[in-house]
Amino acid sequence: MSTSVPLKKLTNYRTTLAVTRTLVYILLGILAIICILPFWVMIVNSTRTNNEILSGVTLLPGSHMIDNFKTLILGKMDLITGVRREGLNIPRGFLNSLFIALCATGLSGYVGALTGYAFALYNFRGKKILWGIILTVLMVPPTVGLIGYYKLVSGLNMIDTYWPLILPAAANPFAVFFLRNYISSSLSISLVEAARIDGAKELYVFNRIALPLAMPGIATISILGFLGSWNNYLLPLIVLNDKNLYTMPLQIQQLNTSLYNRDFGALYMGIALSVIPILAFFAFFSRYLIEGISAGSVKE
Amino acid sequence: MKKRNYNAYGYWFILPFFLVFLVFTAYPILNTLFDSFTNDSFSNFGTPAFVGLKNYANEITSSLFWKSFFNTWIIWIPNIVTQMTLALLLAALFTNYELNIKGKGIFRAIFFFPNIITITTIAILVYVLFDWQSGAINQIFFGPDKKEYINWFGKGFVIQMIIGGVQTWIWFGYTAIMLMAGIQAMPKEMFEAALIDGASGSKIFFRIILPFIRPILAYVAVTSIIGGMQMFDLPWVMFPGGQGGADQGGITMTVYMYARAFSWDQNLGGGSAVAWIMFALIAIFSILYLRIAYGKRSSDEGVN
Repeated sequence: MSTSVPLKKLTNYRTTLAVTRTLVYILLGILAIICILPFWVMIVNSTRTNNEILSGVTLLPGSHMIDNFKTLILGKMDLITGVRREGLNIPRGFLNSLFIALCATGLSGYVGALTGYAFALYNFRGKKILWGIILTVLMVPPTVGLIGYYKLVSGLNMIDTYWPLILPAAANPFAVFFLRNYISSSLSISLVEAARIDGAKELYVFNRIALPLAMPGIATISILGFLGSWNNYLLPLIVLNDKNLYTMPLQIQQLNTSLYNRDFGALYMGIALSVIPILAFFAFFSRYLIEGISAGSVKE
Repeated sequence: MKKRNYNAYGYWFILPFFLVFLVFTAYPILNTLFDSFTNDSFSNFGTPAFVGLKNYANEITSSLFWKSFFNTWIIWIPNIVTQMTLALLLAALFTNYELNIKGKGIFRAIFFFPNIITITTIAILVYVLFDWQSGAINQIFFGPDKKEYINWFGKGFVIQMIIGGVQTWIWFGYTAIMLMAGIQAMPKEMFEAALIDGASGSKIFFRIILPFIRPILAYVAVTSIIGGMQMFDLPWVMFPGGQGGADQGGITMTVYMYARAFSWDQNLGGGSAVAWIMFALIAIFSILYLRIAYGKRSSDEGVN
């Protein structure tokens, strides 16, 4: 009798655990479906005709992909005259976004490392105050200066140029914050001193010793920074008027105007095309992205 | 030999950052503050006159401004509550060693995925999926019978719940990852001691895990306030021109600010005043939240 009670308890425990585990997997499965299904419907509908889309959902692709692609890129055809209206030059938007994001990411990585290195290595007067400024700016919502930014950009005649979308990346407080911590913990001062004894100039020490050592840290913030720049909407919205210069988010936004009104195939095609580059990016970098967030969380 | 002092180089190294910072960050913010005291608009661009506190008085007495204020909170509060609950639950499940969930990495990646998609894309996607006659949501719930279909965008409150729900959908995975990392950083001895004392799973969660990750919870909440008060992309793209859809339910504070300055009456002074009122509100609510979350103990908890 004394042995049967714990045994019964143990079986009970095992049953409860199995039931709980099943329920948990069901919950996780439902959440996974909620996360994926909208994108799946999007991809499927981008291959179907307008009538098919209006008649119901399906999980299998249709045969209208090429037509939707043509309608999207070349514009909707007028049934009477046969002339196509203006379309969305998605490849152009892709290249525009890529150019801006690459320049901005490179700039914020290099200048961020340079600034972080200075705060990690040198003891100059006013360092504490300047660091305080950087920490404060981290918490300042960027929309506060939006109107002033627009006035500055138009005053500098930089409307319809990429400068206002690239240059500010040099003053990314998050990159400095992150890279100062990274460099402090990964660079040993004796390495710097040894290089100085060999007669190396300070900038040379940074470029040849500190920068390569900081590369993993720079990669982490670059992945986040690239996504931020790629997905940015509000800034390009006030800076760019010329449709040839439009970034992808600006092109996609046009889908909600009369351009493709009620042509859902082309509409779905447009957003599907905008997700594909991100999907490819995610396939390569999801591990680093998730690690970056986890690392940030423990440090906060 | 006297040791050379290299510290002055620090100034050269931080110069590029602070130059760009002064021109592209600090100046626009101060310029916006200055503008908020003038009648600046696109019709008298560059030659505004000083009007004192008139813009602030206008905004504070404007019913649409307050509507945008409450809209923003009605969208934000249900979102943060669901998001946090879901993220806490997931983090607790994923780190529970008894359950020992398989495929954590894949689930994490899937839950995180919506977070990296361009908001403009999500806005269009939501717009077409919830479309009254052709949207997949109605088709899934009601089949081909269009009479049953719900006009989702017909009521301001429903629009707000959809926007808030989409925000939850975008952020719950991200928040769960942050909380999970926080729980995994806990010293093992804390769990072991509790288990030896015979503490139940829920007790461990509420008495040990929750207090430990409180700084991360506060961080998530404050960044969510800052982000949530600035919500713009989603409602602006779904309802272009700042109309906000039915009952103007989609007019958030930033939509209001943007439309005031660039779209409706092109009133840059008024928009600037809105920007600074928003800034003040965000600061007040962030500090208020931290006070409530930490009480007086904030000073001795320090950096984690």
